[in-house]
Amino acid sequence: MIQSARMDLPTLSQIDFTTASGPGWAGGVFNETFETSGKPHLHWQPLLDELSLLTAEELTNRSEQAQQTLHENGVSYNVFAERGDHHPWSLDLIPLTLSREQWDWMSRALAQRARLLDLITRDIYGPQNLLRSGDIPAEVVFPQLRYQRAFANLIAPNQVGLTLYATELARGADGFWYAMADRTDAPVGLGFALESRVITSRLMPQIMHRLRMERLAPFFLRVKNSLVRLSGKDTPRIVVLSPGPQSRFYFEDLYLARYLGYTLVEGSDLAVRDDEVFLKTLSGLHPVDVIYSRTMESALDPLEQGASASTGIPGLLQAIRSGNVRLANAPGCGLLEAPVFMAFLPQLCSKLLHQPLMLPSIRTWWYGDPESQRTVNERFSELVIKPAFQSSGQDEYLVSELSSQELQDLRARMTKNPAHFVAQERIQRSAAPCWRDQQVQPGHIALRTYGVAEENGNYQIMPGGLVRVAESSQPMELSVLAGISSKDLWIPAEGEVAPISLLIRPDTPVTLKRSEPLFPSRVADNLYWLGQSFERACFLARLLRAALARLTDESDDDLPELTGLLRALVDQGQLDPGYVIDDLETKLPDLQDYMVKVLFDPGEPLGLANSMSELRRLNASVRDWISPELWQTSQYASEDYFAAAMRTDDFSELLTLVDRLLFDLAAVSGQVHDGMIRGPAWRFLDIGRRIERATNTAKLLLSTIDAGLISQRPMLRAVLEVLDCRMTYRMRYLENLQQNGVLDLAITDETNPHSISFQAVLLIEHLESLPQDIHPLRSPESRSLMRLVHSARMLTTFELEESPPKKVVAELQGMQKSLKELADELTKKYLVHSVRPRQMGD
Amino acid sequence: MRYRVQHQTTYVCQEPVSVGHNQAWLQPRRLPNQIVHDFDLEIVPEPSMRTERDDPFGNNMATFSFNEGYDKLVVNAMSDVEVQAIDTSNMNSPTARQIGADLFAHANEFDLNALQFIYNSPLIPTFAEAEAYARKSFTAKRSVKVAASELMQRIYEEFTFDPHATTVSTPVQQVLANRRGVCQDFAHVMLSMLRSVGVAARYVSGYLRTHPPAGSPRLIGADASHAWVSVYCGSEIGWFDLDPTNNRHPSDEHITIAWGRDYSDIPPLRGVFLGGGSPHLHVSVDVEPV
Repeated sequence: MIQSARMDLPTLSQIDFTTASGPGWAGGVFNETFETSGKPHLHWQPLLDELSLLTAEELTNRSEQAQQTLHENGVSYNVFAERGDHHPWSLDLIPLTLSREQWDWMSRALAQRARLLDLITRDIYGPQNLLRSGDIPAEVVFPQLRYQRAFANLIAPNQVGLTLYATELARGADGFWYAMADRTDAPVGLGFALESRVITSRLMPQIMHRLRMERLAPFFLRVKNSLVRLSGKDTPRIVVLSPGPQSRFYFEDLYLARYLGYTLVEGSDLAVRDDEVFLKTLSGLHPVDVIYSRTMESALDPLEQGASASTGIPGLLQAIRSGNVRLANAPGCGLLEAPVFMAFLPQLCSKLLHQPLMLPSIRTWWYGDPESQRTVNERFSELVIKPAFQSSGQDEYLVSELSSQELQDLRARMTKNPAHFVAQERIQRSAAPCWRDQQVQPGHIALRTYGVAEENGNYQIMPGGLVRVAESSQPMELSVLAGISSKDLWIPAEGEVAPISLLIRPDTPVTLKRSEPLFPSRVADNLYWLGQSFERACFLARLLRAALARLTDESDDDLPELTGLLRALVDQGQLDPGYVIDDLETKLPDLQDYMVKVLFDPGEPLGLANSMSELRRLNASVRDWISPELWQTSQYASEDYFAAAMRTDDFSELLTLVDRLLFDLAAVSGQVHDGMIRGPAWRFLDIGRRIERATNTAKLLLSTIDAGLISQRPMLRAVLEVLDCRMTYRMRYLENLQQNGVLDLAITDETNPHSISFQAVLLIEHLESLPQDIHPLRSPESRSLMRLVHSARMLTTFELEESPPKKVVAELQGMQKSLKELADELTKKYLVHSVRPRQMGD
Repeated sequence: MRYRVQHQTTYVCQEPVSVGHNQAWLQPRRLPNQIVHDFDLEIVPEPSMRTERDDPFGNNMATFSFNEGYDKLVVNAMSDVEVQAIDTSNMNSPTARQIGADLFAHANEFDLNALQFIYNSPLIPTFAEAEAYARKSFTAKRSVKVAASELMQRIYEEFTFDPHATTVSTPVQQVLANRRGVCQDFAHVMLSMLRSVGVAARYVSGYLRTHPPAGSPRLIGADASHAWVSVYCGSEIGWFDLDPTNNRHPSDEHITIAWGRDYSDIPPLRGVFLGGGSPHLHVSVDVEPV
């Protein structure tokens, strides 16, 4: 069917689009690609020509590459998704395309709609003329719990409320596009659209280039300009506010912040002082002018919105009211996501803009209106019934598919509370060719478009969008999470494609720098705990490895050091104290089961599983501040560990597993050492590690000394093993294991990266490099560390030989205390800002 | 009647609070029968920032914040306020149904304003039990004043005042099921009942003059802040107050501070803070007739 000379090229298994041209393809819905005659729509021809140059094998390979790239970039909806609800993002490389004429009309229609929604929002939260006149019945506004009184009059009269706007669209069997939903409360999907474009164009570069499609970069430039304009300043400080790594869209928050060049913050990074908003950094408070909010408007300010907004910024709404900070979107815009408003848009458009509404919504009736009620009752069986005030697609009923009991229940609810329901026509979504199971198959299309506010209340629409694909033409959830895969949308360019990029021009000179000026305190906090969790995981893994190796030992040798290792595990809170009292032998079988639990029990706060899940969580939270390689290596380490945790219950496999874990962790360590700039991020991570390492070493030595085993050679060997110093010891002393040699290596040797002194010397250097008030003398933290180094340096070889080593015990206890104090001081001085605010009366 | 009211809230913290943001609804409203001669809000320590504005319901609201730490916060609201007695004996009014029809037509500003008090609000759901309870009083032909007054009396008689039965966050359903609580619970439960049968009603916060037992002196600071409800009786009559805790129609012994949909719109004091350990709260209210 494809009218192209290239059809004759002797490629093996060419992609066959002809299947998509038959009448009745995909159930007879509107065909995006082919006319009913079987000829492609004119605007598809060039794209089909290009695609048919690819073989099925090539397209399949490239699709796999796309999947691989998405996985490596960590593109998924939820970085913390536990097994099951992990929803990988799947990208179909065959784009959707529209004709230029159609797009021009559509972008005008979408801009009109955005302008209308902005006007309505500003009226409802402002003078309420539309409620007074009855153009919007008060019953569709007042009962909504999302109509928040605190948002009244937040938007200044000449200011735009709706900066970023997204529309859910579908094309019906009649060939017309309909708005299925409006997204105005921190709309998502823009980052996914951008990522889809980046990958699609990377994998099909020539096609993209030859077809001259519109680029997306100019739109993002407009977004940046719009945010600057919102501030009213020339060089405002703009931040992207994310709900944090728990959010399903955290990937997108990160991605957009990086692409736009803004600092990514969470609620706890911002503080309000005297009605102004500041970013809390290591070097103090820095004013913020504009917040690009990716947080739902119901969770912005715990002071005015209560405990449900506990992750927000106390005092933020008052700061907005005072005009000291602007939000995109302004709080209040989210109200218009409720489907009920769609029933009123045509009248409101004539009234407010004096023009007809260009882009129709899916036909919507508000059941609270008596006349609409009659129409709905007549056509009941063909309609979809939804809650009038909810924006999500949950609680949606296809009347024709209800049982008679369900129908009766729904009817009863609608009669009782008519104002709480809307009815909508069902749409049979159009179909486009998709690449699935190595062939062209029909996919039903949902399109999400994006617009940004320009000057004078106008809007610009991004020439592209996020296309989601469903297998059936049935209603699909109006969320970017729905669908089996996504596609890029290609719009043919008008004239030349301007090479605009958000990257700074290559000839712009830079002023040399050695630091990141804005390093949020929360990031320092997270990095500190990341270092701590990482080091703890390493230490526990080595300790468990040493114990496991001896428990699985088949020889009949007496293993006196096992008691010492178990004792160390007990002191680390890993093992029940019962295991080191009385007769060990009878408990060994039990102990084997117990070891599995110790390795994987997530309920143990100090356990390995907990350290690993903290590692995973914190790694995600600081992703913006570490190298992609480090992020990925850490991600792999935790993925491997949790995958193993799910399938291992065999004692004999544990040793292999711990070996593997230690190997993965070593790779992480390598990335930290090799790949991190020696800035504050690295320092805080390293401080966390050093404190934890020194503390663990001191604790291990004290456990074995206390067990009375330190002078025994097998115990000394085990200690060297856990401290990862066997090689060094053997090079120096061969197999002559002596207490003073081991203690020297573990405590006093400042050249050994595992000794306590080594950690302390490094920590002193870190502390002196952190920002602090200028003071000629040493800080209390530095002094306590120097005392620690000094006491280690004063130890004599006699004191190291002594049995029991009384002086060493006293010094180790002193060191433990200093390290604890150091951790407390650091928290107080640098990390205290990251404390969660609390409500009075909690 | 003229009163001097002192309402003092003290937070004693175990550890210093490093930063705090607060809002307070403590200044009595100006009303046709209520004159605020003087009002002073004394805050110790001195806040770093302090502003005042009208909230969306027209109540005066103070906002203040602290950048420097404090161990102890004292918020002392002193009002000199005069309340004139009103005649509450006239029980003529349209029925709930008539008022409801006008409300939804909302031909005037009063009706539009009242309409926002007819729906569920953050702390007040409407539910079958509340509706059933109210239905007994709201018969078709009764004036809304008569019906609401009878409802008030039934709550007064069937519910037990019990300060230990509930907390600030006890849901209305539970108050209705246990029939126990304090003035705030009774106001909430009554609002839930009224709204369940389509009556617009608002939550009123304020103070109540208390009478010492005959022969005993008035105890200073032993009073409490109070809450009651107000029912919309159509644009001609306006709002009509009812106090279910005391089975009375407020006149010159009730001092109105603010009104909203429920407690969460107008708490006397709310705030968010960092640090503080577990702070200890002490409230003392003194309503002195002068």
